[in-house]
Amino acid sequence: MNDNSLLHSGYPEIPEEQIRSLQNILIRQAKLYTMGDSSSLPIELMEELLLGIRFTIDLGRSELKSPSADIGSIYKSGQKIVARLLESAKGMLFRLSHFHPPITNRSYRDTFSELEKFPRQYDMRFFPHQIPISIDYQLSLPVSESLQGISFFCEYLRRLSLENALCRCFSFGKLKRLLTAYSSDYDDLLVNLFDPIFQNTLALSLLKKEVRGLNISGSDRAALAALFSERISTDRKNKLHRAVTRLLIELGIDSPALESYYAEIASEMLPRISSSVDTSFQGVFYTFSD
Amino acid sequence: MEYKSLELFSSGNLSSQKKVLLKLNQQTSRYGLSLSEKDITELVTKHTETLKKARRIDFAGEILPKLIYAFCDSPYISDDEYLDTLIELTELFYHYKNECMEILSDDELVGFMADKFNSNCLGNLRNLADTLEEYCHSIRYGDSSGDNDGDYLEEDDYE
Repeated sequence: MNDNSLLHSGYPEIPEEQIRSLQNILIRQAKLYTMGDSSSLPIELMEELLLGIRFTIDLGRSELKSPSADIGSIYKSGQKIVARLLESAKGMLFRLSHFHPPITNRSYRDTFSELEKFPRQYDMRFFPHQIPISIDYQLSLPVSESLQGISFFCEYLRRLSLENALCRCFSFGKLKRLLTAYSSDYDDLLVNLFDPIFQNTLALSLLKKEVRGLNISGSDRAALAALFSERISTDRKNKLHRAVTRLLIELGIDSPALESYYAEIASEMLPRISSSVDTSFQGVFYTFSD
Repeated sequence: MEYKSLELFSSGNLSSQKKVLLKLNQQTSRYGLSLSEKDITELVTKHTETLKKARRIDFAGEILPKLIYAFCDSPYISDDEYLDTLIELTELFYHYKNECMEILSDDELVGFMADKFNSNCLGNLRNLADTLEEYCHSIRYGDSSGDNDGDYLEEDDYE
């Protein structure tokens, strides 16, 4: 029987001659999973085992560049990568747990409790593609759902660290006033804390004003409207990217990763900024009383 | 995912399965039971159909030999109903393997089936099905430690 249909869905096809090796890996995994107690499994469980194997093979391919490498070697390489990524994730979690933003909300706190459970609940042996926790706190730039398992988790932690880096540049008091201006219910709502902070600091940077002030005044809005009067979107985009660079210099942050992430967020924000010029940037930049 | 796709990964070597089952006749013939090649082909075919109906994948090819070993010395099975009995036992096995939610191992379930078939159920497959129903119910909702002879926990037992 030659049926490669199960090898589709975004995974590179496995050559025919390697199908037998894949079969052996799956059978071995099923035997290990059942600890020899069962000779059969529900189809749904076998599917999940197979997805776990494919996930691992995909990771393994990224390291073993040799085109002649057999599936067994690629799989073993993938297992080592999964283990390594898990250790890396533990390190990131530890650092994150010591560097929370000065202000958080319920969604952030609940999600962080979940994140801390991940290393214990993650099954890297049989289901490395799964994420066995609930992640409610939305990042400014969500992680692509094409990433799975430990890959998704690591990328989520990385982006959360990048977002927290900006939040930590400001005092609790200033952040509270800004977030309250953003939404009085910010603590209870499923909102991203970084967004309003980044939006305001970006606006201040565009205006070449001190970003640590964090506040956008009425006159600032008028000045911003003039700045966004250009019709050409690439000019606007370039303005935003330069503002990101200036923002990081002023905050004393030297990080290409941060600059790249914030620049991408700024680009994503551009349509919203552009469309809110006529409403004086309501819902985009926030004013609070100092 | 379609069953057909995953079937690729089942222990599918038909001719080796048949060889194993034919060889078992050496043991079962002591009890007056044996399967012809035609019987074995039908048994293996029915096994595959049962697996598909139960939405399970067999990755080790062990159940038919286990059932044959466990039941060949039953006083309630005669040679002329041997094949039909094995087919029905296979169906019962996979159905209740699902019902007990993988809590029972293959050996535990086959052992329970053989024990009850030869005792309380007096060789009656319908009685065996009823007994299995009660047993699996008690595993899912009550005492999961093992055979409870059809008794499952009353409400008071939870207090």
